[in-house]
Amino acid sequence: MEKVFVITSGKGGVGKTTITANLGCTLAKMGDRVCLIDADIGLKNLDVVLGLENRIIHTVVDVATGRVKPEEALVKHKTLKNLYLLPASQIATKEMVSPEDMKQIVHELYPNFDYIIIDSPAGIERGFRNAVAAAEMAIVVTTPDLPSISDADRVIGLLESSGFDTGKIRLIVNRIKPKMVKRGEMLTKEDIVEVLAIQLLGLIPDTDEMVIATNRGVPVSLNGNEGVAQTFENIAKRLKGQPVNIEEDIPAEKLSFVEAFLRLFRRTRG
Amino acid sequence: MEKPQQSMVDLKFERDGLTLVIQPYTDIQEVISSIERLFAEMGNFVSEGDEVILSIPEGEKAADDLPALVAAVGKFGLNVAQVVVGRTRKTMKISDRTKKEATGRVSEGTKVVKRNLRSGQMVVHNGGVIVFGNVHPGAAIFAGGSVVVFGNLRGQVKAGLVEGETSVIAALEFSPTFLQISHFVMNEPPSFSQPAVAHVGTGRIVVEPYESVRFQDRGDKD
Repeated sequence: MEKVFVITSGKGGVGKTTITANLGCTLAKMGDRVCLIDADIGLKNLDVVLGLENRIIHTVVDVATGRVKPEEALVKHKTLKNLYLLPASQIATKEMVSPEDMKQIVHELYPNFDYIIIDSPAGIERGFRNAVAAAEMAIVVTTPDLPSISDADRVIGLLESSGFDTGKIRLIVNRIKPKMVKRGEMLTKEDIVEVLAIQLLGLIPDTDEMVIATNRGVPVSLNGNEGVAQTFENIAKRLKGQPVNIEEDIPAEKLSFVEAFLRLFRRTRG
Repeated sequence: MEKPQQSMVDLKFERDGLTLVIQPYTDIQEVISSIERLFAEMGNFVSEGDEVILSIPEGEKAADDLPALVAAVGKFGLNVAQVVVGRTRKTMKISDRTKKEATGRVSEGTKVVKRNLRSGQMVVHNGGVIVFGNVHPGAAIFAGGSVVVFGNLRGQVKAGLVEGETSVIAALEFSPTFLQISHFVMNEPPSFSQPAVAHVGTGRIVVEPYESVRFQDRGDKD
């Protein structure tokens, strides 16, 4: 199985960093040794989402320039003992690290970890190429709207031309509003998969708990095993090669009193 | 500011055929190296024996340099069919796009692409192009001959850039963003969720469902 993943999207703001953090936490919770690498040099966020921004001493730029070894720059997560972050520098630029540097860093970390997840910056320039260089599998994140899907298509094309087999690229659709999909007001997962022609890895619903967790610096997957935490567990299992039905990603919505009543009413009539 | 070298020479498709347009210049050696760079980038878009029209700027200087220019083009196996002095007609530009990625395999004059063409990807070929897959919005095909897509065509297609208006564009599902056959252009082409064909009929591009298509030129004259 592949163990080095890049989370990428092309378009910004679709949830790459949140997904990286949650996937890392979920895999670590399952007992795997996980290293997250923030490749968004100059606009770093992953440390904030993980609540580790105060613990950074060295960054990926220090490692690339040879000032410290990769292991020395790693920041350990507060509660998960087997989750580490290789943080990005906020004062450096993406040009200070090369794709070869990234390959070398991942190569050195490779034996010590079960999974290495690289958080790619938005865009398709140097930062993207850095993030993608060392990955064995790419996870493309999109939201169910046309601009995001269009950018995802472009990124999949770039991944293919940089040597990724189409079978090594997966898709996560983030911020799905199940109620809107039901009413036919939002693109369905079938629509998106048809357009992008790529294997689906997971569907993540748009919930308030995600927003709250991100702002608190505690990824949502650390809030027990309910709701979205369960979705990330499904995705993690699929990465490990276990078959989990994609329908299970969107938790069954709780019916309001009126809806439950109406449903009961229809059933007796029908 | 110094002008980029690339704009010095340009390959365009005009009513009379493929035209190499040379902008006013001062150093003939620069022009020749630009021509060589242009054809190197174009890859297999032009092939040996193709005819090209040379369009040179007005003035005595260009006339003196003509043999050198013809020789530069001849190095790539092209024959100069005609020399035009000065610029008169409206032209369509194709060379800018060819700097991007070209994909697929050449066999027997037809390029066969066996995957989806995604946004930002393009295929440039001097013969026909067959795609087994979808052509996504933002993808482009530039073909000397006809283009057939066994899938959903939602990108941009320019066909008949060498063979002219007898070329056709066909797809199983048809909703391209832009069509061109030879020098005929169609913006906002109609969509079909069934197999459809675009061809040139009575001086413009016509798009019809496959069942009802009637070709004026049936391609069996020779």
